[in-house]
Amino acid sequence: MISRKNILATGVAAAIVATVAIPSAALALPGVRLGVARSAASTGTVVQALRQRVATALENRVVLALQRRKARFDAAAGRIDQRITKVSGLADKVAATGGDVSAARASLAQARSYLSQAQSTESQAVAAFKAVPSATNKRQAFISARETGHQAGQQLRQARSSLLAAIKQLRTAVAQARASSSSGGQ
Amino acid sequence: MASRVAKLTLAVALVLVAAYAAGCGRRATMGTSTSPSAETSQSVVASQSTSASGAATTPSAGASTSSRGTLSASDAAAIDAQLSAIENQLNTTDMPSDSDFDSIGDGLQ
Repeated sequence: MISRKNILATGVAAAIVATVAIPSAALALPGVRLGVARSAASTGTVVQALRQRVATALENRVVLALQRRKARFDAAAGRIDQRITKVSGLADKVAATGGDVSAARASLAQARSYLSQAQSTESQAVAAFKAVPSATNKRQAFISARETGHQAGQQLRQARSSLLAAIKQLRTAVAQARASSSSGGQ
Repeated sequence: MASRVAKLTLAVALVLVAAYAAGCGRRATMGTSTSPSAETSQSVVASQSTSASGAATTPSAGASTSSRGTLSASDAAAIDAQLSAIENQLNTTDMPSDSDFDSIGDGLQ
């Protein structure tokens, strides 16, 4: 005789078998498998679209940052360049009166050299920043580009320092020329 | 008759030769009147650029050795004032900094 206990045990066992077997069987069916594949493919597309969006956003950031940087760098470099020319003209005037402007001219040449280096390094930095969005290791590419940009800024500062030194030296030359003019006139 | 024709032909030929010679002469005069001025302006430009570059790179070249005048007090003051102005402009020049690239770094996070 089948006891009530046995019936209950059989029922529980059947339930367990159904819980495990039905989903496995469903997965084994070709149509169900296709559905899973489809959903995986659409997830991949979404991920790819998101990646593309992030890359475009980064490219836009680079473009905007470089535009602002260019305006700032070119303004400073242009100003230094113009002042080098102006101080050079003043050095000519002082030299014409017999002043010794050799030190000032050496500093002016140094300033020109630093300015030229700065412009060249800045071009390299711009190229490096433009390559960041497509780099495999974007973080590393950014750090490297920023270092190049830092060097360009340093060289521009050195150009300005050399020009300021030239101004100081020219002042000394003016004072000396003035002193010798005064003593010669007496 | 034949000699009259020959004389006439010769006269026409002479007139043509004279006209041609006059034309050439005028062209030659024009050439000599324009080219020297062009040469002069070129040489002025050349000498200016030479003196400018000479002043920039070679300390001993240029005005310092060519003429030795005197520096008046007013000239010295004017030069000093200009130098001060330039110094001021340089000290207040907005220089590029590393923070120019911060927004790119922020986009990487």
